[in-house]
Amino acid sequence: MAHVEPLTRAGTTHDLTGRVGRIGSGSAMLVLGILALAGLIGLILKVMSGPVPLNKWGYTAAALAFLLSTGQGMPVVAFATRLAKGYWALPLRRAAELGAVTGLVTTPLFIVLLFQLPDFFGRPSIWFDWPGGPVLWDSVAMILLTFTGLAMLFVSSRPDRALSTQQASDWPGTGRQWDVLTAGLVVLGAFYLMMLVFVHMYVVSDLGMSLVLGWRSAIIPPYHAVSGLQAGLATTLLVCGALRRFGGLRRYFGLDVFWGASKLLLGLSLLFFYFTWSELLTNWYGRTADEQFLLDLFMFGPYTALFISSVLLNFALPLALLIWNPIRVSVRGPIFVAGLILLGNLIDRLRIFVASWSVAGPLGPHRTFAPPAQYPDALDLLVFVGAVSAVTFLYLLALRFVPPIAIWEFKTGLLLTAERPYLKTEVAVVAKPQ
Amino acid sequence: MKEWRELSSSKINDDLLKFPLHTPMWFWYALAGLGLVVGAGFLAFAIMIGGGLQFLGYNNQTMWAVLITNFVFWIGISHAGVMISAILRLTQAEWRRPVTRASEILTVFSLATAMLMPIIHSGRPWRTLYWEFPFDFSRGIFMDIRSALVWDPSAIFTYLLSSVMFVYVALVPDLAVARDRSSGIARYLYAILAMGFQGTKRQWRLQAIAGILLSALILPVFVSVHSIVSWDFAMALVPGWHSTVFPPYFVIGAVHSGVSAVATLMAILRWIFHLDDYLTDDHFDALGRLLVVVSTTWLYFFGMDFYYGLFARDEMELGIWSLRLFTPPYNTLFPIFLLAGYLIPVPLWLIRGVRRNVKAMFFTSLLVNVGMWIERYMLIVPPLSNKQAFPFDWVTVYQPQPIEWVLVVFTFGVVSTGILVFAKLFPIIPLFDIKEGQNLRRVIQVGRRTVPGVVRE
Repeated sequence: MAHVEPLTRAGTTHDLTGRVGRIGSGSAMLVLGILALAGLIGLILKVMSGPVPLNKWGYTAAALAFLLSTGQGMPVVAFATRLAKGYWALPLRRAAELGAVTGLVTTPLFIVLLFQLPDFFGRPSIWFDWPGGPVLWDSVAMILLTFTGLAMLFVSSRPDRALSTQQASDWPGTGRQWDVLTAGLVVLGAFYLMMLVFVHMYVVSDLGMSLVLGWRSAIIPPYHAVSGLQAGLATTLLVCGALRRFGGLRRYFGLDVFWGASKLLLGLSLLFFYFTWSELLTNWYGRTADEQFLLDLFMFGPYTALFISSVLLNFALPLALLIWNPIRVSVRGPIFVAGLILLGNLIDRLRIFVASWSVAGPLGPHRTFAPPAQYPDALDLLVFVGAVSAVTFLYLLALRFVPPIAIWEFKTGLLLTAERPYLKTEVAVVAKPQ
Repeated sequence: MKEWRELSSSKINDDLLKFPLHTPMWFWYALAGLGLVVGAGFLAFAIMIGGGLQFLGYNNQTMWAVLITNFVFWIGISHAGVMISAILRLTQAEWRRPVTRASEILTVFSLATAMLMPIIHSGRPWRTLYWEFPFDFSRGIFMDIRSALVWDPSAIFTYLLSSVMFVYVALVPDLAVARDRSSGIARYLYAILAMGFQGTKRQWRLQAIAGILLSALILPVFVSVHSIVSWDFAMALVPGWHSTVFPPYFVIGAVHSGVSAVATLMAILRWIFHLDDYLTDDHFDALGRLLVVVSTTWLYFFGMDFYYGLFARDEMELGIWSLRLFTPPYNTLFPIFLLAGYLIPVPLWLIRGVRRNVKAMFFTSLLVNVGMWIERYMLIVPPLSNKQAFPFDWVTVYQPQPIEWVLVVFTFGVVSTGILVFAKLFPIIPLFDIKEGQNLRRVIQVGRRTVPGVVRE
């Protein structure tokens, strides 16, 4: 085994600034750019064919919800671990914050989808016929979310950019600047979390619940948000795994990162089950005509396979794997589980949005039977692949300008941890200043 | 933690065993006062057994009210123990150490008190046995296992048993210290309870493993208990109750209420037992921060319940919210609960000086539980009081009667008596946990500053 030098502050700065612009090959970015362009063409073709029949938008809505849950859920991981002073998460915070670039894809996609919605006047919705709802206010919320995410990334990367460009004249790092930076990150993070929760509510309510007459489940917005945070953490872990494997950052993404994240992932998987169970059991016992229809549409009818797969991938398998120490306390175990959750989230979003748009239409009598399952066509696949490629492309592009790890935070971590003698051994001591 | 105090092992023993091993006079006065309150409650109960439920304000529609509110409220408070103990232990939050025992004890006595309420509410307590246990196999008579009357006791008993085990496992090392420092019958009793604990390596190892295992195992029980209580309401087709969000909404409300109750209890303990060295301003600061997160999450779930109640524009749901918001007396209670439960305390907790002020934390956390009691009342009573389809269901507004208020005060008396007696018999702050915390403390020099740190377990 090659000898590995312990990480020092100076060595870290030199190593990480040297990596700016070196992650992600040009050819991969070219392929991703072409796929993103193809997706855009697919979306334009869809829009040009008109909004009806409404059921053709189900897969696009699912793609939007999937990206909102995964990419835009990532910055919350950075904020939450910063707030809880979780030192294990220091290396993954930048990777998480970079997820904010997803907003550049989801915002236009959301606006396009909002214009395909049927007339909302008199329809059960969170807007109660309020002027501007849903199109204007949903768009404003999504734009604010995207803007806040990018602002968080901008503020957090400010010291690192000053380091990597060797031009510290505009950001010399005075005490006041550091105070503003740390306080600003907390405020921006809190606002981002609040906006994310709101946007989850708008997306699932306006692109899902309002389209299905009789569906008024109050747990669905928190369910969508919690499963979104679960997927956001899973995506962050996968990105960290990729950076560790292909970005040459093995020294930084140690066992602690994956072990710490795996505990959170386990907790969020349990919450996924809890929320699903609460929805299922209340409808099961209620058994009103509307509830029987909802059970048929979302769980035990044409999309049974999706429902079962979603529960397996988001809850059963993560639980069965992560309760074992050898899997949880490893690098590959949490990454594998994160992969399962990502797939599970996609399936769950397909279940919710494809089913919802399949019964969308003008206001009328409540339905009693679910229509048959709907499969994607070529344009649906093109839009989905294009949207995911566009996000990946933007992520890699952002990595050309900022270091993959927040150098200043990582160095703070080095300052505040030390080895100290304890009885006959040495132990790690972690300092937690106010 | 900013406020670090070096405490020797002997000082910790002296301070924390002072009350269990020496009885001050005020203890007897306090016990007598609380005994009067509990006695009044039992008298009220006896009157109801003799005369039936006519002494309560029930009418043909509103038949769940103050007693069920008490039940839900105390189940909520009982969530303090696990939240503080199990979750903070698993996440290795250092500040948990002096707070765990008292919150676990709060759990045990709150649960026991909560269980009394449905029994009293039944009017004929002895008949509850038929609802819980199979009593005549030969004729195939069996209790209805789909009924909340079976779910609730099963969940609550499981939680109560696991909470008692949780307390006991953490208490064993302290019992051994009490044994070694007492004499006479007290020594004999502590020796039995300490089960031969001598502090060997193997015993410590087993104790630590048992603590961690119980922490992990009790978490699903903790969530299930209040979820099951919420399903007592959500499974009914009563508009205003039949909501999918009730389980998490009840659980987070319980945590909000429970953690606030812990803050109140900590302040009282600090004042009564002069525990300034153990329950420092840092601990109140940490509790305040936790409460900001918990209460905001609770507000979010309340918002979901409110918003999606209106969402479908269903006439009955709109009627219930109209009752809560615009009709007396609920239109007075509604702003009180919102102000007391969130709008006054949470903005104050955002100020560091308030979080570090014990008096301020005492009053704000007390305010939260006033608000949360009213919240439970508002959840339960208005949906039953709403005007129904048939005129014979149009009833006068439910009015709680004096005997119901006596039973409300009785519940506080029972819990307070339980905690006081426990504190008299056993150390209310875990000795071994405090000593362990002292052992794990280190400092790190960062430039010219010395920063407090802790050994990573």
